[in-house]
Amino acid sequence: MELRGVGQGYGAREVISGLDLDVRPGVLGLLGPNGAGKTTLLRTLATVAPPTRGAISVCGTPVVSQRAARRVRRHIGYLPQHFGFYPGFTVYDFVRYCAWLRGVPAATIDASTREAIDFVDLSQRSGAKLRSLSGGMIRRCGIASAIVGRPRLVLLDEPTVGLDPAQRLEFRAVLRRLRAANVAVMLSTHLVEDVAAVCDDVVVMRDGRLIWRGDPESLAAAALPSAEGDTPLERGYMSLLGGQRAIA
Amino acid sequence: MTAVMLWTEVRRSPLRWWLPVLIALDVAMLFGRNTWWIGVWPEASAAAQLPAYFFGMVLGGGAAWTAGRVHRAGIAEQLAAAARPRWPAELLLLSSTLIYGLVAYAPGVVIAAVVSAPHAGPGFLWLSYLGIGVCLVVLSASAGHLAGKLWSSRFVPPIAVAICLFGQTVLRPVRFYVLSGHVQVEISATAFATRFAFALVMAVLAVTIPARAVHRDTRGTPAGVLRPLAAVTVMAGLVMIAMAGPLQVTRAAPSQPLCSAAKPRVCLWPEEGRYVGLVGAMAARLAALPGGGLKLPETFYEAGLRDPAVPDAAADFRLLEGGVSVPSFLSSAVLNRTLPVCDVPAANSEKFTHEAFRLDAYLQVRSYGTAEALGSGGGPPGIDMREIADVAHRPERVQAKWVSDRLAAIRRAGENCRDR
Repeated sequence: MELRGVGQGYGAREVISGLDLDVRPGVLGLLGPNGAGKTTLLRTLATVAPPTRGAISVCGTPVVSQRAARRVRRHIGYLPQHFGFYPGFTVYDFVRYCAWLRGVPAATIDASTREAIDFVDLSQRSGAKLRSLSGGMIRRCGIASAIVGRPRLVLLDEPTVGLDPAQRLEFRAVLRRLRAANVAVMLSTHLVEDVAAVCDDVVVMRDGRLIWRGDPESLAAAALPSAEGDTPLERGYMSLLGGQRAIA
Repeated sequence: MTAVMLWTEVRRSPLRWWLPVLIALDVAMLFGRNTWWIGVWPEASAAAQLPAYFFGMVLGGGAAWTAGRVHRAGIAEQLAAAARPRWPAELLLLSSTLIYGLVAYAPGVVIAAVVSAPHAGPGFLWLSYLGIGVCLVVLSASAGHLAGKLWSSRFVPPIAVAICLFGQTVLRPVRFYVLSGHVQVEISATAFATRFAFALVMAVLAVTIPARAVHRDTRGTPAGVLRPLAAVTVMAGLVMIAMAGPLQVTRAAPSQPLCSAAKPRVCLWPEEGRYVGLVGAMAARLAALPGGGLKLPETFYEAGLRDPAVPDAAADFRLLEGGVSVPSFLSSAVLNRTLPVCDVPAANSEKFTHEAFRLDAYLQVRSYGTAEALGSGGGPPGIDMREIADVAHRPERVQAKWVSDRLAAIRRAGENCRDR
């Protein structure tokens, strides 16, 4: 997926502006403070919010209309920040419903559903109602709904919020499996330790702009001696936010 | 796969808890008003159709609740990001609601058929009345679905739908229901077609009108154009329904009415065959009256069988609420022939009317066999029913003299009286 000069906002307010970004297989971390435009960027990538300017293309196909957007959505899995679900659905029903929404062919929808549920280790609970699951299981179910039908791009908006440490470890294992499956994953998060654990690449946003891109080691190396933070990565991230260093 | 998804929606619909209530409402409304429709196919069809109006309000509320779950569960964002357009998902939701509505509607129809069949005349349930009920189910579900989609409050949609549907009771030209299915009338094809089309349009609007946007930056849905257009479409539809004329129109009389053999004969519409015996017995009781100057017609006709231009046709009886409504019509038919035509001075008008009313009450009591015929209203105005009941139990010759005295009093109250 390629974004060129993408701007996004409503009314006179521009939430992201002039953004160029390539998303390729692997896990790409998206860091930034609140209000940086991370969610807006993910919604733009998910083609939910068409850009006010600039161009998006997927595998060379420009997304210029609702119809084109629907076509590419078959290849995009999206777990919104506020992940909604019907509490009365079973895990299986919900993931299958999401597969149906994604346009997974009827002939393969059940197999795809089982595969996605297996992938997040929820097979034992596939018949359980969502209301009966823990927060971590709900998140895994959300990921299953995002990856069902094997999309080529998976967008995860702060998926680890509210998870306990054990659940976050489980979640990271899922991300590693996605990476191994050669899926392009974009992970928006506040938690730099998640980035350190699973991301191949990191982008940092601030005020609607991409201010840095590199691998986690480079981010750690960008730390200023005076920067706040408990880990090298946190110090590198805080340095970028406070140090006004803009690197493409 | 769509069937599987539909089944999933049906299984999780909140209406599954309400289905017993809907069915109970259906059956309660079928039998709750009266049972005289049993055995008369058009009446049974109309009776089976009417509960759809009452449980339609519950159905509309349920539809609004169901449609609003997308917002409440926070699924709107996933729907916006779906490869499928929004409408198939909305269609699944609306279809699940419609299934519950039709499942609730069906028992009343089946029961109406089952209880009517042993007593019924020719024919079967009238599809036109049942179709009106189906229209009402579709309209209720669609209006509810639309309300649930457009308003986020969990309380507003059910209330709005109930108000809209209840409004039908006061907006007579756009009613989607009939209170009864008298044999003299039938559903107008034009009125039915417009209502059917309107219900379908409402369903299409409910499915396709863009829902409330969750995020301000969600573009691509021309809601600003579609919603006013939908409102105009709905208003235009209502105007067309109003212009399509009344829902029920007069029906052509049968070439072969169903008539009793005994004198005086009674002739009814064939569909009301189960009442031939009842009305025939009433006529027979009138024929057995002890004289006194009463004149009976040779045949009592049910309304609609004769050309309205025939002089006595206006007094032809109607089975408005089963047999209990017939005596007043039979009495009118007898009095039409019996009472002289007089000029009545203003000073005697009250006396003249009072004596006619006494005779009327007496004939009704005699034809029905008891004072029940006069219903809860207590008979004609100003009449002492105890006196009438007392007269009806006296020896026949006393009754004949009482009748003769009433006729004489009427002649005295009038001037220039002449027999008809």
